Amino acid sequence: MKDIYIDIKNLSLEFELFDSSKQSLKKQIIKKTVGGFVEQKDNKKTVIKALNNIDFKINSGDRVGILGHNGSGKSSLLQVIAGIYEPTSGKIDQNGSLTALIDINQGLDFEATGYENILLKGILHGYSLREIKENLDGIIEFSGLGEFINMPIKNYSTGMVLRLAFASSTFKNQNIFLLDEWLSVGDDDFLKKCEIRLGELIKESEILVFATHDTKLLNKVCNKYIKLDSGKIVEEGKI
Amino acid sequence: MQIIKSLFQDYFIWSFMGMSEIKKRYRRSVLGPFWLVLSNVAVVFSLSAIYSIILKKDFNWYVIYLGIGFVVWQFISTSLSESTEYFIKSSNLIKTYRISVYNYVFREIGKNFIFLIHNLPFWILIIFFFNVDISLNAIVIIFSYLMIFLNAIWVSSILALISTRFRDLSPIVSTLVQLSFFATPVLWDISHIIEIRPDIAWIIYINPFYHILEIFRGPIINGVIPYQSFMVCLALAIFGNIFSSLIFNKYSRKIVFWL
Repeated sequence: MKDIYIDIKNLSLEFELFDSSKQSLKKQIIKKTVGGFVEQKDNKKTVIKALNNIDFKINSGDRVGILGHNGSGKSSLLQVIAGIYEPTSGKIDQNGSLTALIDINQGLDFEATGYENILLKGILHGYSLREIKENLDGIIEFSGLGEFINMPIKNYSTGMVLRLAFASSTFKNQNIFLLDEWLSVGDDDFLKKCEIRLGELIKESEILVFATHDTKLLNKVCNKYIKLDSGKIVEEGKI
Repeated sequence: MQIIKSLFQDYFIWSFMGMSEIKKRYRRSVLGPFWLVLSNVAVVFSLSAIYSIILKKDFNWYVIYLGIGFVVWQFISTSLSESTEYFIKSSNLIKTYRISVYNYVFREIGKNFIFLIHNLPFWILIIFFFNVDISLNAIVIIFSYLMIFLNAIWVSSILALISTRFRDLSPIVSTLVQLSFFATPVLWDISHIIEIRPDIAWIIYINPFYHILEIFRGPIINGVIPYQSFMVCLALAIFGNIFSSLIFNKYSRKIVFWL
């Protein structure tokens, strides 16, 4: 069996902030052509360092919790690991299939039926149509929607939408599982069901990376943690 | 090349997203796809009634000339002017899922392409109704569809990329598209120019939109295969797609930072 790991080396992620004149083709062309005549007040780049020299390795069996305030870089780190942002500098190596639950409602089409949304969500997560259809019964059963599955999801309640989105994103176990904090909606019954399913996923996936504020939850599921503050790792340890 | 890989390997992703966009548009109308076609019919017939008189053309000929040109132009103009929003409107998806950004281009082009093909029955209807002798050469419009698809892909992806970085491109593009409608022989035809000012007819021959229209109109109306126009379209498709691939190799990973 291949080794499952995520190896992050000196990783930094920067966002350049574009003000309206930098986003204007016209102004950029004028600047380039007439240069000297136009006053250049804003020549400096405004850069936000979302992640600053992150350096750590996650091995098979690790359940890593990422702690930190809002804007400390938790989500950015997950997005880099998920391959959405390319690091500005540094390197990230990983091996293993990956599912990232970053924003679970994203990608749903509210005019389409529940069934169509299961397919849509599944393919966005990179599953093949066959895989989704093989697991269809399980997904529908887990989401507990019954005959609602053939209705447009705009008629669903918030809880029902969440159930559908959750079920169609997590029906298959992957090696690496990224989870951004989001489990705040849904009734108690579903939350319990979710916890069981998440528990299974966490148990079966070899690596879990979990961004959260909730230290209690973190203590329950994770065996390692890192604490981020303004994009830097300020604390690191085992639980 | 990434673009070819996405086109075939991610076929299911973009076609599915495109289909759900199409279904979204049709869901509320009883006639579904033919609602759009019906509105084209209305526009083409009313414009033909007016312009065949102004331009002193035979009505029967003009209906078919405009019927094809207008539908093809509609594809060109929506592909160009909507392309500036392709990535911006998918910004949440791009920030959440790791699928190739080409999918967002293919999805929209695929959608417009399906709308374009929907008009084929309308073409067949007017051809039979107005008794045009159709030659076997008309079959080459299969390649015309392919050409227009391939060209739409590279132009739209480049426009989508640049306009994500520079947000003021969108109004510029829509103005240019509007202008090109009048500068391209859609309503009028090239014989007008050749009659009045043959010395400036080259302006039309260097207009790529003219050649795209011609690869549809030539085989159907005149029964000839416009080899020259096909060559222009093929060359544009090849070089354009190579060019856009080079740009995307360099910048596609930056798109998410610009959103």
